[in-house]
Amino acid sequence: MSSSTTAEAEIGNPIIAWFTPQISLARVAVFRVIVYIFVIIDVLTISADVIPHGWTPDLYQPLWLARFLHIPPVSVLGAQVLLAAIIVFALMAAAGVLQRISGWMVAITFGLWMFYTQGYGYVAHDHMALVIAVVVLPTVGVARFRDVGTTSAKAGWALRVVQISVVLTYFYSVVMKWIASGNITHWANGAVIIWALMRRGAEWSKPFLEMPGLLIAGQWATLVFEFLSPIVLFLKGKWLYGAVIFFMLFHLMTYIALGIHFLPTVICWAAFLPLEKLIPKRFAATR
Amino acid sequence: MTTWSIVWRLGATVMALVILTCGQFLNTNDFFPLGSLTQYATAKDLNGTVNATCIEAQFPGEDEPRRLGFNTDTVGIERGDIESQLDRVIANPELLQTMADSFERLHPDEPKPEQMILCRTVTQLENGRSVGEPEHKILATWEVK
Repeated sequence: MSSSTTAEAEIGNPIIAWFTPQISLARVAVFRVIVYIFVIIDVLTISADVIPHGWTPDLYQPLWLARFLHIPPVSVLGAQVLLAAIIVFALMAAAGVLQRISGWMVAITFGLWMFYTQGYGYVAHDHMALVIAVVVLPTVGVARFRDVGTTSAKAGWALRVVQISVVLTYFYSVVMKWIASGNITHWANGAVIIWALMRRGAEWSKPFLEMPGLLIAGQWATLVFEFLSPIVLFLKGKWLYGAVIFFMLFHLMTYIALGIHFLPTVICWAAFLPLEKLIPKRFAATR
Repeated sequence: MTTWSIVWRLGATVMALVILTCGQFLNTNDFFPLGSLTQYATAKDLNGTVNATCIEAQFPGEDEPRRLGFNTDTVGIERGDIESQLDRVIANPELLQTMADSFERLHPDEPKPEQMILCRTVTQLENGRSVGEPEHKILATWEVK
């Protein structure tokens, strides 16, 4: 891969260079482990509703791509087989066994699983970055822990795409608030958090319903940092770590108060970090 | 990377961004995973109402319908899924049969429900604070077969 650096340098376009930065291949090796282990946790917990969906085929509302590919409603047995396949392929991919094949098989089976968890009415948007991560990771090819010193633009593109998906999850939610409410101040001065707390709030958070002013301030703060989220793409060092910690704390708070964990997006924040530093020296040195 | 390698990667990135952007402006979730990011996007009036959809079942020998958990463990589907296709379920109450069937399969030791009731609790807000008791409305009923 390092030999191809010259080809890119010759192009010398800063936009291309930004989209395809040279990063350590080992970073992708670590990110993969995180993503594929999380995929297993996801299908067993957060998106485990696919198996019960097997009982309610009448409520199937297939999404565009599912209609285009003529994907029928899931059966209980079908869901169980799919679950087993995802777990096997994700374990292989996390362990780095047959990396390309196992990666693409996770992309296909997990993608199908997503159509079945999201295709029954409600579409959750916390999975956008994770689905994109699963699709782009196999394009990197072989990446191992010992590749700490090897850089790759393919790896750089894959993680850049995940980073963009993460920040757009926040940024476009502001755009959507604007579109859906006509006037963004109506959203910020409205009762969205009150509404969410009443419908699904934890008992300890109920006293906050007596403080609508504080909740409105919280709505304004949310709008501001969601709108500014793309800046994280250009942060470095301490500022980057600070921003990542800030978003983690935000999700921790909404989880404690509302039970909204947003974990599939939270996991993808790892794409911003120099994960290769987590690899113990003795693994990194073996060549 | 080869030129082709760079071209398809940038092309795919731009295409995905265009689809995602269109998803927002068309306000559609249909292009998942590149759909609109609508969760909690609708403005709520501080003097409006807070609606929550509920599901109840009338069991044989019981005086009043019983409120069931609106989740996959109880009726095979989450509240949010039904709320996203609420008009369709109200127009086709026979869809409540599938929830009764799920309940039966998931709770083999419990009696079979006689009637399924799709309901809504409505809480009135005044300056962001709830006033009075929530109102209970029946949206659809279905005699279980």
